[in-house]
Amino acid sequence: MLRATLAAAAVLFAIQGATAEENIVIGLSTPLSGSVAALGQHENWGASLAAKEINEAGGINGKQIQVEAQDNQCNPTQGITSVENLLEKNPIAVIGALCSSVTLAVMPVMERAERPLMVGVATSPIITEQAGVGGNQWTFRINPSDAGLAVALGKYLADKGSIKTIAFVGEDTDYGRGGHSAMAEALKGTGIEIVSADFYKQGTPDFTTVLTRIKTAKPDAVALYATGVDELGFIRQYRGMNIDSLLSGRVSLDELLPVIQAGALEDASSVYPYAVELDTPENKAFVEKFKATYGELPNNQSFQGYESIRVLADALKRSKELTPAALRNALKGTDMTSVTGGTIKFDDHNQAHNLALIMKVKDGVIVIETTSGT
Amino acid sequence: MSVSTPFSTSSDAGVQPRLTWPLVVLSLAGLILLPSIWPSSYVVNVLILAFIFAILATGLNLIFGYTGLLSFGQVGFFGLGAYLYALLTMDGGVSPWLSILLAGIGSGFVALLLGYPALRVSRASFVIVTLSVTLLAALLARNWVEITRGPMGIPRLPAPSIDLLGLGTFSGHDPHVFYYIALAIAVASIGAIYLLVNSPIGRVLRAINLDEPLAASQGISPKKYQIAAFAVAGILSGIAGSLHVSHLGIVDPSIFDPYYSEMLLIIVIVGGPGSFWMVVVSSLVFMAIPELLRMAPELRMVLFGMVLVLAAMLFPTGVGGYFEQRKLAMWRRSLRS
Amino acid sequence: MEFFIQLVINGLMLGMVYALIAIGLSLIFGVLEIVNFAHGHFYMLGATVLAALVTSAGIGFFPSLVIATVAVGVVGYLVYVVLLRHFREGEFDRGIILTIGIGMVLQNGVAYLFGSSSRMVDTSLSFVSWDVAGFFVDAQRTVAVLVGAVAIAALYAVLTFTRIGKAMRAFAQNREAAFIVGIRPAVIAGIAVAIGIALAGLAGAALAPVFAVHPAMGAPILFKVFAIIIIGGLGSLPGALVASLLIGVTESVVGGYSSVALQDAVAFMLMIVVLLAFPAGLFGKGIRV
Repeated sequence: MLRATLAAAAVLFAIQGATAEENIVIGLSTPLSGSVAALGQHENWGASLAAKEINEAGGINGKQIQVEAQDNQCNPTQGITSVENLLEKNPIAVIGALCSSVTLAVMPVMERAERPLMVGVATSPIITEQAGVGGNQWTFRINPSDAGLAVALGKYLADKGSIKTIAFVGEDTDYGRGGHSAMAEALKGTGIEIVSADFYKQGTPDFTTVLTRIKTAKPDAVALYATGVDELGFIRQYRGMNIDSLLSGRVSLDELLPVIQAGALEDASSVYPYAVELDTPENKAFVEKFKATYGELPNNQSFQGYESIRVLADALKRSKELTPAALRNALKGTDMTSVTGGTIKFDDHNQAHNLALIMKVKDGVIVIETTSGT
Repeated sequence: MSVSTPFSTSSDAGVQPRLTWPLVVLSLAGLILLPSIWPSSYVVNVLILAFIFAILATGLNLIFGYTGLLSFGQVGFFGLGAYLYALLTMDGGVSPWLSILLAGIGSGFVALLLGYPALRVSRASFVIVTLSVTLLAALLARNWVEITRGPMGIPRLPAPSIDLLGLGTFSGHDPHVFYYIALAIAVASIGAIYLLVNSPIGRVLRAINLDEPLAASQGISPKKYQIAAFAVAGILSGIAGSLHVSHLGIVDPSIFDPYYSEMLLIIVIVGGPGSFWMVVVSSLVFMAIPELLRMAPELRMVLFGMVLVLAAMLFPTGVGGYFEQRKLAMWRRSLRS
Repeated sequence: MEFFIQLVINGLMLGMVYALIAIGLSLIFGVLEIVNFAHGHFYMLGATVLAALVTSAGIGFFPSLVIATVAVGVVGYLVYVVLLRHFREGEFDRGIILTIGIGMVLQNGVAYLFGSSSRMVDTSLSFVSWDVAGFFVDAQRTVAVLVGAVAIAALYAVLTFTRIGKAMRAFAQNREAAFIVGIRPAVIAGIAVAIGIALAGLAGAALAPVFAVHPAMGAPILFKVFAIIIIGGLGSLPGALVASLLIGVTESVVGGYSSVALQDAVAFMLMIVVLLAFPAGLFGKGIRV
């Protein structure tokens, strides 16, 4: 039985090993099954769309880009296996891994394999700390860190003047916990105080208790760091309980359009690295193509997948030869305009500083209030 | 599983030892040579995972297959061992090898403490209590931020290394070196359990599983043996967990992923509870299958669910039990003629 | 004090929801001695069917509620006839393995067919709330609680006054005696499983407009309800009801005065305490009404 399995595995690996010598393979490790599969799917869609556009425009010196996606279930164990699997296909670089813990587990593997790892979604500040002069020369990150976004939001809320107290509610993941530390740091000296912090387990259906507490304490604003089903559930119950506190934080307003159109989230604000509403020609074209291809509006994950491929393609075009080492050197010299209109340039920690967008709900539509660097 | 025991009790104690041992030695030799024949670090990585799951599955087989108690706590102890390893090496300054050992002992000790309330009532409450312990451990890992660093996890964990006199030091961060570390620990711990289940203690465990009141009437105290078996299974889980994160280099709350519990259950059920070697083989097979199903991640779990339904309906004794029944049938036939 | 009373009101409403799920689970355990690990996924199925009926087919909330409950009950009956019926007494582990498999197929099958993103159900009562003597009461939740109370009362009536209900109780207390008085166990067990699973489906359907509907919604609530039926005493229906309300209120109060993280742990910690103090749970065993 063991031998039969190994034989079957051998056949499979042989087939995978033989895929298209001609193409430039770029790996993508992201969750395609499990609780955050929808986010990974969007990153995959974004990356595939960018590759298609570049290939239609002639590819990289005549060679086609081929995106190979592998599921990592947002779990470090599956993360390493998925990257080892991708490395069998001789990729010039790997994009990943959506979740911070998976990214941190994958970084040493890519370092050992001496191929660039392009991080587009994971938010943990430790990733940037360890990259570049931090030791890992192969990791590059294009999305702004938690800290950068929190500083932008803190400044916006402080400038409003009407907000003095904030209740923080976040999921008990690196996203929520990291967001809380970043907010606490960013609000120092602004006169705004975080009066309570709650971290719920992903998949929690009922938020009545924490909302009852907020309704009684009446903070000026609620900072929400939630994703997916939890965010939708929370906002629904928040609305149902007629809470007066303003909603802010990292609210994915784009995915709450029906609620917004119903007038329920008036004056809510949010900070994000991306918004569908961004008024640049590149973004308008991206949104239109994305919707036509996949039937859904792009989100932050699809944007970062799209942008990851664009940044890699830009570096590949400048690269002296098509090797991972040459690509890394080319990435270090990146200076290109993002879809958001910001500039992508890596610092000595291989961290790019794209824009932070502050969005606000005004008269039932989402408007971009300010953009600032991170 | 109560129905399976009449078949499996006569099992690996060696109905056909002549065939079992050469196969075990041959497979082991094959596994030792494999990385030199097939040096892909992807394959090496999948096999490391298989060795770790073989340790974990042997632990569940001991508590479920031999002792008859279905435990969902194994993944909890797996995670506990993983966190103990991380805290001992990072905060305690303990060496990786010693930390693996201490993680095993620590997990076993916690199992010992939990065994008493969990076994106090019925097998149904044992199932639910052990499940809840795993859920509570995950909650603790996520929220006791001061100790566990919460969801950020503890990255940059050291790996054990091998110091060969004269040849220099080989770092366990190299997957090819870690392969042999994992293989050695798997052989040692699975071997120890093999000796245990074939010792007089193992026979007592099976007797309790078959008929608890009868065993009690013979002057055996079933609870003590059951709790001891639960603790030993806890040690195995703790060792597997510490080994696993020393290879990953990071521990975070996803170590308690219910996916692991489901995979572990499938491994033992399909291999056959109470069939020692088939469960070990099943670990290797079921760590390779998800890799073969990489092209269909969404359907994979539906398929695994169906495997469990079919196994429960048609082969409650697993592949091991099926072979056992065939063997018994052949025996009967040869006796008749 | 007002805050405390508000928390207790919230807790009782949440507890009724737990009760609907816990009573079905306890009923199945009482009759078949099987811990139904797929129970939470039938709750998810009820919510998913209702969401499809209301949002896609445009059927009203209350007719959809009835259709969803019956549909899930029929699926439950089929699960009994095709699978569970072949089990003999004492095949406890086999039942768990089977129901875990069913749960995996349900959850991942729904995710595969309908996607894993969440759906929202809007009714005319969505976002309507009342101020009752200064306390906040959500309309949609009140509907769910009333539906739950009616269903539990109906189950009580069935178990107390009908022949089949009496047979179920007799069967749970003493299998051999039930045989002797001429009750066909397969019929009884089949109906008990169908009712138990239909109750889970009803809970899911009634709560679909309150919570987000998605394929993974079954697991967290199932684990909590497991703790509840251990606290109440496996197989005890009044135990399940009382423990549900107890956990609902405790969770609400603990969460209200401390943190959400501790709120999640309450049910499990209480379970371990109860097991140490009352090994058989608060109400012991047996379907009693």
